Amino acid sequence: MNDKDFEKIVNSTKKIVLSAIGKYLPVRFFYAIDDVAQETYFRSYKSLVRDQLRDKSTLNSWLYTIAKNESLRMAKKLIKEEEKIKKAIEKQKIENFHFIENKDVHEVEELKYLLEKLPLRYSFVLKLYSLGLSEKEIAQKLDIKIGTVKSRASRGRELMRKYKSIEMEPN
Amino acid sequence: MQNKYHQHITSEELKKKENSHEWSYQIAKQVLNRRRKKRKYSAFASSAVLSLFLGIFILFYLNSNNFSEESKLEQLFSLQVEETYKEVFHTEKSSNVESIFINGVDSIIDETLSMRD
Repeated sequence: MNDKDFEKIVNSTKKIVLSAIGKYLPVRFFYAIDDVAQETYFRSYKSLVRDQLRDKSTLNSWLYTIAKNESLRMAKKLIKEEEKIKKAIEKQKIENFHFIENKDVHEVEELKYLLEKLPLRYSFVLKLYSLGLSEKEIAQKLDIKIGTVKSRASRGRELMRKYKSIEMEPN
Repeated sequence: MQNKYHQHITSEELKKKENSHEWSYQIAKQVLNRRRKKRKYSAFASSAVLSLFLGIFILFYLNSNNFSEESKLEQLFSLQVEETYKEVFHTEKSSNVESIFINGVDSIIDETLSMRD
């Protein structure tokens, strides 16, 4: 089976998978939606390819259950990761952010506010950056790869911009 | 409050992904890549296990073959020694020459008995 054929299967079933993810993955872990979807299709690949002609409603409920289980599994994993980060935060005792030295007070408060709203995996990396730690040091502290530190920092900044735009949206 | 952002982003992301063909393509591509990697890995692992077993088998075979060769050699050696011994013993006996070899247990017993008398 090539990419195109499988893409068709994904296209025709993604609604059911995404609805299960939306329901069972806690909203604070929105950044893991793609991972859960990928895992769901990876696990169900064989059956999806083999049972293309199976009754659609059975296929949908089966896929929904896999997506639900994967969402719950991912949530468990991310909760563990959060706990690990919380412990690292306690150790670090971050109080001041140096990366906002040149900003005015208003902006500083806003940045602090938005930073606190970020999921821990992003906010902690940005806070450590603000303390002047290098990417290597952050990676060692969190026991992750340097590439992950970079991507979390950039995703964190991107999310802060997004939060700002949400904040500016009329209710 | 934090929930407000996350709720907003989650529903926005889900909607975006639901309508995006690019997303389906990316997911399909990643899944197939993972499957190809997994297949490659399992093929590599099974061939490694197979060659390990083959290696162990060959070693075992060579070793056991060596042992049998050794025992055959030993047998041959002891046979040769026996033959040589017999030959020397026979020659000495027939030519009535005193030998370093003991002529037999019977003669020792006879000698001992005569000493008692």
